[in-house]
Amino acid sequence: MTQKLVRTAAAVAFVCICVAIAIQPAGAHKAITSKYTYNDDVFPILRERCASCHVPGGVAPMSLMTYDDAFPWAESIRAELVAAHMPPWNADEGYGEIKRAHTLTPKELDIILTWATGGNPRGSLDQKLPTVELKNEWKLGAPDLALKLPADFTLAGDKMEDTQEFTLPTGTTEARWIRAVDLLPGTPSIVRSATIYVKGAASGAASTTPMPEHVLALWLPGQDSASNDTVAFKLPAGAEIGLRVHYKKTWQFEGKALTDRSSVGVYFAKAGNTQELLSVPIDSPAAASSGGDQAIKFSKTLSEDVQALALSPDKVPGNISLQVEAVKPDGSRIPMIRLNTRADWDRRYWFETPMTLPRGTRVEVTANLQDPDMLSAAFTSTPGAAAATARPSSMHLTLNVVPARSKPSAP
Amino acid sequence: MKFAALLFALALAVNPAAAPQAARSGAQAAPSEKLPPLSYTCPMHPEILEDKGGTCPICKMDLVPIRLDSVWTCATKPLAVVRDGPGRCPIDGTALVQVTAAVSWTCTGGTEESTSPGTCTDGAAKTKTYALRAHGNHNPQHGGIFFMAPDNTHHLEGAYLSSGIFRMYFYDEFTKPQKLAAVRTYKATLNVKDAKTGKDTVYSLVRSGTYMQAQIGKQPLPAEMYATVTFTPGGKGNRFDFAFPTYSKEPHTAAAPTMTSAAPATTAPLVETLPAPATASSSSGIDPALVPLPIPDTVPEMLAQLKTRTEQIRSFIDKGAFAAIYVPAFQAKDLALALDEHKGELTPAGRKLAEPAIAKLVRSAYLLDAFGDIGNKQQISEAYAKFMEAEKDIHAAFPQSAGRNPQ
Repeated sequence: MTQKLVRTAAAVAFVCICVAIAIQPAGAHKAITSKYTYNDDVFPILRERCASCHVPGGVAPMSLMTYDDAFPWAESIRAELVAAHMPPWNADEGYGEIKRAHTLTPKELDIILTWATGGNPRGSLDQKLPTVELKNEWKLGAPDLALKLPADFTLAGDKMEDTQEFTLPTGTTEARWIRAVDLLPGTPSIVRSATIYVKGAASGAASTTPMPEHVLALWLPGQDSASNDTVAFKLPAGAEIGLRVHYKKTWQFEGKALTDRSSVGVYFAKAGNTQELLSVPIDSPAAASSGGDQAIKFSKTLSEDVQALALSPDKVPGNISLQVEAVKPDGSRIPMIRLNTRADWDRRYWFETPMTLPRGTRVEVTANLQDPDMLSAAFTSTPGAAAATARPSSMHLTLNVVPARSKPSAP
Repeated sequence: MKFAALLFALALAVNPAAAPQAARSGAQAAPSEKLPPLSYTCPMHPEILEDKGGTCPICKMDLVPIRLDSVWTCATKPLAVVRDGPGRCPIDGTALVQVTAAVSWTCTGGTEESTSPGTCTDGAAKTKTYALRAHGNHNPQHGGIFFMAPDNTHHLEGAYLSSGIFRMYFYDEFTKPQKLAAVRTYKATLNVKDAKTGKDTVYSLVRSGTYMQAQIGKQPLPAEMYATVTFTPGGKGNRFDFAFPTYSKEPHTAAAPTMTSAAPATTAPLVETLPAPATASSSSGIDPALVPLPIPDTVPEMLAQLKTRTEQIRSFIDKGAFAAIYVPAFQAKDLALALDEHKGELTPAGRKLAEPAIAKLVRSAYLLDAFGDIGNKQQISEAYAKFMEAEKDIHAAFPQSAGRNPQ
């Protein structure tokens, strides 16, 4: 961090230096004071964008909601922002048409980076900032069905993380359509991610035709819960919902036992024009080549006309760069998504608009195993990042589709 | 932005004819003397710097006021002489370098430091004094290329002498030479690229006193090489890329101490003539990439300047002038942010392309800045690849016809 402090002289000095630079290139370091302060400029952005996790009691390892909280992390904030690690959104924005999560605008990004690298000024000491508290509530409103974990789960004092599987009976007596599910953490600070699925549904792995999607949600803290009005998941009568939770403690709770009792909220679709969301598995060959090449290509050819709605790289190791394209029978290529996978940040990416893909379309995945994360290599401290990414034995992605509603009519 | 006018005024203000001033002027504190602005720092943690008073976030001590100034001084005798502008060192005739220093005013025999000029109890004017700041001086001391290690503590300089010797000097954050005991624990190798075959030859750098060196022979210039340096036993190696356009010369063997009139007045026309970059450099010898420019008013001009800046970064990377990259990179970033304010004029499709591209350019500009300081060419090149992708997308998002409006 200290290197940036040099830049912290002041506006007048900065302007002088501009002139000086114009005369003769000098040292690397110019003195700049961030014109943005925490109180006036940075805090409003952090509160708006980061408060669902970076808040006291939140799942993030540190709160950023007061100056004293945020200031010591300025260098980490810079590193996370320039690497596009935070806010967590791993899809490459310039490729494909993905419904965006809220990320930072360029201006917001620049304000925080300027502050983080320009001496982290606080602003007026007299200024009282509002206290920000953790909001732990149903984001989609009260669910139609709230299923609480059968019992408390305790993450023992000597464990930093654990993955736990729960079964939640729904007690429904007839088949229903689910439009959305959500998770309400009992103890938000340790509920790191979760998979919510319909239990007992047949796996579509071996099938060539699209099968009903039984993964209801890949839940992440702070995400906007997706609710799609036109597609739904089928919940058979009396079905059970499976919940797999990844619990993780931050350093603040090291050695302490923490207990959680989360709830799954189920939102039923109104009867009517809902279509069942189907899944098409895209698997890499079981034994990916052990040669020296850094890229693996695999694909899946669609057996019927579909509209593609979403894609989730759900079993892909972290630190891999993935690119997915649809190659239509006429040879045209449509970009679908490009992203750098990061462990524990799996999510379902919804396309901005449904993509119409005729039968015979090949969905082509290129996985580049070279660690895309040059930042971790540059700033040394991330353990394991420098080590070569373990070559994954297999990878699995899921494409979510609905049948193409109308066949294209001849002109 | 009235930056141009300001720049012009300041350019006049540092006219070399008026510039030279005594280092310790018995400051007559002319009422017109501009004091550098006040900052606040912790007596125990100099890295803490605030624009307001308060307590140190680390040790809770009260912060004390300090004034930081950017001054010119002799490379080898920091702060022995202090000037407001560039020139020649009166001691050894070498070109002055720019450093950041703390300014204070003291009375003879007293220890009290004041942040403003004034009169002592004996009636004499207080004496203006300068003190070094950490990272205030990143100038090479031996005519070589200066880098800071990723740990922000170790600094080094690589020099390629005309005798065919590569020599590496080590410094702390105050640019003081590292002690022998410290240098003894360092390990370093040097990969020298053969210009013809592209193959590397690896040399071990051997310690000699407080520097390390290797006889690598006379390579054709520009010579490219990189050092891998370990500062702690068993620690990670840090890579530093050097590109020497010429052999390094110790400052005291540099040109005669005559004042070249790098007349700042010529910078004003520069502001007027750009973004036609080719015309800029010739007469004054100033690389236009280092000249900050006001943000133009129209989108096509912004796009043209963005393109120029992107090429300037490339040329700095090619030349190995990594430490200067941040100037065009941050200028490009500001241009991109100015374009961001015009994205309302775009089609929805263009807007969707523009915003993430601009965000990406902002990120990669800061990456280039950080990597430029560290001097690892591979990282710089990767950051530049991202930067170029973003720049390309910005050009694609803004059709050249958009915003073409008569003044």
